[in-house]
Amino acid sequence: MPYSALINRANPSCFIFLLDQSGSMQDVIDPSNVIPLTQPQVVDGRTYTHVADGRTKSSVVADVINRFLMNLVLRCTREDGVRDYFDIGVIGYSGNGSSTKVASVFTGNLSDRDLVSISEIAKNPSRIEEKVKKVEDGAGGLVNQKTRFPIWLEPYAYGGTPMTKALKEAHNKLEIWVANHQASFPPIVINITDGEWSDEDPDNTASELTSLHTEDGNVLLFNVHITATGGEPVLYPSSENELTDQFAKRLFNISSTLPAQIVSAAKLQGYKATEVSKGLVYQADLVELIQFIDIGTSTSSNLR
Amino acid sequence: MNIFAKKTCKSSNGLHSQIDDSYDYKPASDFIELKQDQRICIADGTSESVYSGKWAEIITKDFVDNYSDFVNDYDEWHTKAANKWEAEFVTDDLPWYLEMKLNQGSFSTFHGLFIQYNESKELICKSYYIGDSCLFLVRQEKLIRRIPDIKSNAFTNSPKLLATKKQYLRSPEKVEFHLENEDCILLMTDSLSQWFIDEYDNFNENKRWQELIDAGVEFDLRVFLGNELKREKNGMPAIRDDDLAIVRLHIQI
Repeated sequence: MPYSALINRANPSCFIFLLDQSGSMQDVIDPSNVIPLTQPQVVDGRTYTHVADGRTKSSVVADVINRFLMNLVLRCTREDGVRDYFDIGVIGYSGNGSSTKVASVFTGNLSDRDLVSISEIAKNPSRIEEKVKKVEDGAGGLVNQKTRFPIWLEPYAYGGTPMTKALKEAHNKLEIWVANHQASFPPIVINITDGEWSDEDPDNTASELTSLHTEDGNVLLFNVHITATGGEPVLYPSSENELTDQFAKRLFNISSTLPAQIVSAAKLQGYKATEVSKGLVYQADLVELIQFIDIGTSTSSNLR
Repeated sequence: MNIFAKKTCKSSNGLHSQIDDSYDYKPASDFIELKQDQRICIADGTSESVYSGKWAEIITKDFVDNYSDFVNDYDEWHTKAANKWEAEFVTDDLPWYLEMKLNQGSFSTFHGLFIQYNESKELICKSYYIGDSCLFLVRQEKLIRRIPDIKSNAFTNSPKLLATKKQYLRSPEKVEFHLENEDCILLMTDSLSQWFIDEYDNFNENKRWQELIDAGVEFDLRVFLGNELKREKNGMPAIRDDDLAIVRLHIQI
């Protein structure tokens, strides 16, 4: 049965995140305290007529990925250290023309590193934030607990959306990886974007990416489209007809069908998913983005 | 006769690797005196939490040594056990991930038995359990009770667990039943339980499950695991590669 390989140190698996870092990612998600500007301002080619409180899409995405990495490190941690069950890549894409940038977003000791083992990620956050949070004391009360939050990537937003180049970069990295890990659970690529690509059509490149495979199955490509302007989300569609937007239909066509265990994970979270559902969430808000990543990486329960 | 008890680590781990399953019992003889009681406990520390083997070891020992606390003040019994677990580790200068992991605490399944004669001189077994470490009661070569009542395809990666952290504390389920002379009680952790149930429910004509009833002191659980991993049922190994533990008691009244 495909997509059933157990994940262990001898046969690790791989996640790659492709992060849209175009200029529109500096838009505020869930804006509040909206104040009109006396004059419109143009920033990075975009015209803004208001300012608002709230977090930008790029900071939300950075926070979600940082938390995902933290939780994955913890899942892999045992008393003898962090076990290398996964290799991870995080590729940002932004810019136009000569300023096009498609590269790993890791900083510090991991700068310019593409696929990094989870133990190296654990040992090399670029910084650690210290926070105090309230936790239950088990007797009905709350106590302050100091916690440390590791940070690996920072928010960034500039220019256009070279998504196809990012898919090509993922292909280049995974072509080598799958050749060296044929017994492994296949890699999962999760693309997080807020809008249409600004380079060539992605269909052929996406097809080449998902043609890569291990003995356990083909590389999976999932797409999540995030929005700051609301709109009814479309979650794990089974048919192109569930989408009205042409861009959404294109994302549908390049998304992989969900394997059985990810369908189960989606259902457990309360989503309607079937054996023909695609790994696509369109017009996702923050909660749906977090749950999409949880569901899309639920294969990490194959750990042994 | 002494109680039969064996454990082994999963096959893919080296022979002397850490085993996260644990058991304890008191007394060591399986002949229960009229004014005595028998306490047995088995536990399976989760592979994803840290020092879960140590947590399994503490709760099995503390159930056997401090049964009256367990029954009369479970919360306090748990506090003492959790404090023992936390006292095992130095927490200064830990890397962020180990500090956070220790703060999450540890988790284990749990199944404890208390066996004693009541005032009417009937032998009663009280079973306390959290999760999928199972009890099987075999009488005249028939499996007449399984606790929890579970089928072989119902074992999951997410059983209920006994946690070190108070905010996740669960109370055990409890079942009480009578025992008769020559009854055989088996306590097993999940992989062995799943194997036993599958063999009894779906392949009973082979009577392979009987091997665990009849096994003597020379029985090697690691060899058993290796053999069952090589044997196929429906295209899959006959047993899941995991730590195994079993405690067996033959009742003599």
